[in-house]
Amino acid sequence: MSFMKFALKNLFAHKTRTILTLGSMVVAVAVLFTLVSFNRGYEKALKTQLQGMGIHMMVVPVGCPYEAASLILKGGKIPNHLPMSVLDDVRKIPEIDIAAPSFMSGIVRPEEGRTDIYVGIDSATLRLKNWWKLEGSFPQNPDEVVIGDNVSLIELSGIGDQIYLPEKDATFNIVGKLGPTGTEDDGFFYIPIETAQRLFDQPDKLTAISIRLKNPDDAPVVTARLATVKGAEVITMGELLGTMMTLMGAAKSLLLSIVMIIIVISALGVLNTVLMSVFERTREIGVMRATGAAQSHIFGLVWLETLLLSLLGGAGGLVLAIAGSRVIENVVKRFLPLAPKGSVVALEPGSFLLVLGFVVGIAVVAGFYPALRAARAKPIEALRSE
Amino acid sequence: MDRDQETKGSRDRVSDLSLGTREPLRCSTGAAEANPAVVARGLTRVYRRGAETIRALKGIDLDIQCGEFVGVVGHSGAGKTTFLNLAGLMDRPTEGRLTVLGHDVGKRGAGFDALRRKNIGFVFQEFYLMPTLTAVENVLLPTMWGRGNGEGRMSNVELKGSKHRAEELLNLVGLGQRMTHKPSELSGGEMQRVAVARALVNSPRLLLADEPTGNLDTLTRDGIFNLLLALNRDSGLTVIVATHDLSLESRFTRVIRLEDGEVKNG
Ligand SMILES: Nc1ncnc2c1ncn2[C@@H]1O[C@H](COP(=O)(O)OP(=O)(O)OP(=O)(O)O)[C@@H](O)[C@H]1O
Ligand SMILES: [Mg+2]
Repeated sequence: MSFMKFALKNLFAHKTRTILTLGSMVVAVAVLFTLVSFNRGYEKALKTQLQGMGIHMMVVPVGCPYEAASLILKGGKIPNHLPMSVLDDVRKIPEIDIAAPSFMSGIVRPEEGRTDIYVGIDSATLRLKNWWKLEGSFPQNPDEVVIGDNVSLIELSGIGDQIYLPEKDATFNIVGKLGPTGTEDDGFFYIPIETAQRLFDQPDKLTAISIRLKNPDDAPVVTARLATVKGAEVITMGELLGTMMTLMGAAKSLLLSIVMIIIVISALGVLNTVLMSVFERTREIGVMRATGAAQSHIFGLVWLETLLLSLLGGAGGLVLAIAGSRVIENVVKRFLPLAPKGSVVALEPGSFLLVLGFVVGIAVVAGFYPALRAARAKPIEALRSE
Repeated sequence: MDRDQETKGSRDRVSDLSLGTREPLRCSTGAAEANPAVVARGLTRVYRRGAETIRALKGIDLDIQCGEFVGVVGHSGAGKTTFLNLAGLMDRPTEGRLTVLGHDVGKRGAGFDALRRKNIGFVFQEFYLMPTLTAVENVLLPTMWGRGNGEGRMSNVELKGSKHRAEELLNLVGLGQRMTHKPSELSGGEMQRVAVARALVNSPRLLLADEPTGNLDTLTRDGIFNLLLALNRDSGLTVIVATHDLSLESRFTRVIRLEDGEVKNG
């Protein structure tokens, strides 16, 4: 009989207890693996999406540019503005394929608990965001508007309807509607840029210029050239991604504390099981000692049992996590700001390793004390105990 | 002469069961006088129960040579089990000196696990079998903690070898049909015989048996006793048996009589 078989036999001598512990371990590992995979997947999906957008950099007003840029993507009121002249400077740079100016501002609707974001754009944006599915037409006249997918749901209106803005005493005809993009774009009102500037009394002012390069590798050259433009600051999408991830920080630390709680709970569960089984087997451990087992053998055996328990639980948890990842993904996505379109649960080797580390860590920590207790038993006293 | 006849029956089978020739560890089969297996000087064991102290062994002196077949006899409570536990390295003396197979067994110090595993077989009065293991697995238990000789994990071939040996031993004690029974599915006498087989599986030099025939009918008792005798004769196994079965006394090479924690011998 091998040591391994003996350990397994011991574990399954108490089926119910072992299976219950395995169950809690399976759930813990499944949740942990999903959270870790989600965390990685979310970052990856966001990155892919930003890169897929084909927006390589943004020109924003001097100020706190990262924050501003995030706000622009998420929608919001920016206190600083760019002069219109910057656009001419930008368009002179030969490496730039598209430079799309935008002016963004919001109308606060406290009684409805929301802010309507109006984005002034021109046809350059339509070319830049070539993934947009535009139903109807792009605004030609000053009083025409295109609405995002969510807006049409909230306003319960579509092409042909009118929108009245009492604050500005302005009326817009809806001429187009965007298909769902899965991004913040779904929540905006798009109007001609000149209209937006006039509406918010900021003539000749821009919020940002989004830029696509002919070749993304030219980014450093273009950044250097843009740095000389007065009143403007350049941020690349790479930097922007970092900012967005920090905005995610709060969500992340919540995630982290859930993970910590899971680890503590499952470690305590395993500790309890192994400790109970050691106490119950005092006499059997005495028999092992009496038949020549050294303290190290007993320690090793109890630890092996803990490790087997954890590894079995871990394997079960991974299977459950992978099987259930699509379901979990849908649930998680619903509660998430800035949910990217792609899969947000990434099954990476790194996550497997992390979870493996967690499982082994639990076994090591939870197995140590019981193993020590077991090994310390004196043969004859252990044999005599009831 | 008498002994010769008695052991004949089991001797053939015993010679199949290779206990193996091994170089002596301060305990060879020859020159018994110069070769002590167990030496006790002023050996004392005091049990403490709260304020009460029980002197189970009161400073006994004795020498047991290698190759002897010794009976430790005495009334219940005389200290037989206490002595066997000390000689089998299961317990530590309160006072006095004890040398087992050339190793000084102090009050403190490192465990003698390896010595116990490799060289000492022990049959407990209460058997102490593992309830979750089958008969053959119980016999195999001592082989799990490393090889009989030397250390280290066993290879697959060795695992098979020890399984084979365990089955052989069970056959020898008449349990060939009870290999896969759990202790709860065995009679008292059968459990006792499993315990005997377990004590022999690592080919020990010293066998300590505490009432090994207590639960057996005369026929089975003689079978076990003859097996031990044959092992003693053919492989030079040193055997110390604690018993209060007076009818067995004549068959030991020597009898040590314990009375109230003291040796009472002529
Ligand atoms: N753990 C213990 N604690 C206290 N007293 C003990 C303990 N073990 C044995 N004793 C006492 O020590 C004395 C010797 O006990 P021991 O078990 O050695 O006797 P024994 O000769 O083996 O008896 P038996 O033939 O009944 O097995 C007894 O009086 C017993 O009550
Ligand atoms: Mg006794």
